[in-house]
Amino acid sequence: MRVMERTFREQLFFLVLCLSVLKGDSRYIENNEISKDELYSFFNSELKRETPEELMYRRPLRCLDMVALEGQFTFTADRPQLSCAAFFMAEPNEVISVDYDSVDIDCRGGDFITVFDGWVMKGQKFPSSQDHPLPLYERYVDYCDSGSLRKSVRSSQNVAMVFFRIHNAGSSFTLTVRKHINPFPCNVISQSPEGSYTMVIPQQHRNCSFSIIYPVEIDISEFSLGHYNNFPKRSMPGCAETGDFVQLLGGNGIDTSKLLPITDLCVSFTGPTHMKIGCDNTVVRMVSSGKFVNRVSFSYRLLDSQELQTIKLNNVEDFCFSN
Amino acid sequence: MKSAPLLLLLSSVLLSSHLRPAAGRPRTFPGWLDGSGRLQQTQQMDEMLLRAAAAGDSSASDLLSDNILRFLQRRSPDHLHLLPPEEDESDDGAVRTAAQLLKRSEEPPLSIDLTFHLLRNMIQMAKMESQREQAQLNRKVLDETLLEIMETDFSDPLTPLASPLPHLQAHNPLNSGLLVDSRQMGNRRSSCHFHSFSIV
Repeated sequence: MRVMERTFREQLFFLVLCLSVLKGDSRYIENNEISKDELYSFFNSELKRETPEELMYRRPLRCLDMVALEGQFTFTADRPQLSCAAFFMAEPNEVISVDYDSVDIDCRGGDFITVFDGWVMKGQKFPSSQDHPLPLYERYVDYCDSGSLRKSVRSSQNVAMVFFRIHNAGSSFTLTVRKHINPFPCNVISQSPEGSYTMVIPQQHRNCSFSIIYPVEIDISEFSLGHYNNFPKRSMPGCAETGDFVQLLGGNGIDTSKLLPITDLCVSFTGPTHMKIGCDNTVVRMVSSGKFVNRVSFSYRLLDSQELQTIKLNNVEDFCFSN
Repeated sequence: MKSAPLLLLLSSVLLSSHLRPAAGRPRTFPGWLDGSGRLQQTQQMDEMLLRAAAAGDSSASDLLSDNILRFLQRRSPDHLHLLPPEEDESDDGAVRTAAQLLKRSEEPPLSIDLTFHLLRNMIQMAKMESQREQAQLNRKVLDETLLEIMETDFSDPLTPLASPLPHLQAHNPLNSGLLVDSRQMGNRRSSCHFHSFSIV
């Protein structure tokens, strides 16, 4: 009796399956995977997005350049260029890898190509030494020192740059820039003056910054530090004692350790959370002890000249201030 | 029974031996080179650059390259006196290469002086370039897809497409509209109008 029931159920399921297939519901199951279905592809955690040769973007690289897309960039020196730099930038959840393709420079004659893991401006680095996992000398990778060993350099965040110096006209090199997904981005420079972002630090003892290089009005909408997420938000004077808190920093450089703190948010705060920060660089920095999963969500928009003027007039001090 | 833990040990040893080879590090900086001296010079550089930028419009890269060159030249006389005063003629070449290596490893970390205004403009231009390129790529892929669809024989509804649909950087609106009346599609092949739109 039970066996009969089981076979009947199986037959019923089979019938339903056949009907759904014939009805065409399965046409929505499409293989849009960008990785090939290899046997051991699930061992490889990274999606290999191989752009075919004809689709790869190519253009010459300039002495002072900013690159925000993947492709091959060739620099050819028509005259000695002794101080050049190219900045690379990606989306917040991506990291950049730079590969040397064909390099024809005179290392012994003083030429160099150095990739830096981050951005350097006026001697200040982003991310700061406190926020970056590598020591400073490891963040500079010189082709002449380690060219044959390291043909590819990968950044730890969404920005990277390359410094180069060519003495002889006619020397050239080609860089291939690719982007890779970073599931838990830590240090980010925002590409645009408007947007929203959620920063998550999953139980890691590290400090992460989100840098907006514009004067913005920032609105922190949601914020949870481990088990404190049920409490109403309040800003306490003694925030630094708790291991997990969010800092708002502002200033005129890109090094987050040299910016001045505007406010600290740790346990909870009530009331509106809008802040207008008239600084050239606004940073949301999260300090995490590693005990909890910390998350902060915020949105920001550019301040127009009227608002900037109001902020400047309301403050006697020269330092960019918020209200 | 004994071979299983041995196998485990062997496999763990093999897997752990996939260590990343240590990249060649540049020589360590002597203590007196990093720190305060550089900061003062950077500040002087800032003032110089700001004054020059305020004075008029000179092309940014020329200005920067001159300043950076001057900056580096100013630093190098400090380092040259490190070399031994007497140079043997026999190993002159060796001393020169040693001097070059020393100079390069003791140079301050590379930096560029750029204002935020210039940086923001550069980011804006780079974003526009990226969007333009993405739109072109999407258009190319879309054209290829449409060409393939038009070449497919729709009289037989079970004919699969010759190759899988290429990956577009946005939601592909074609998926929902594909299963139309195949006869109409065949007749309309010659007079198909497609609105071109850019998917970003």
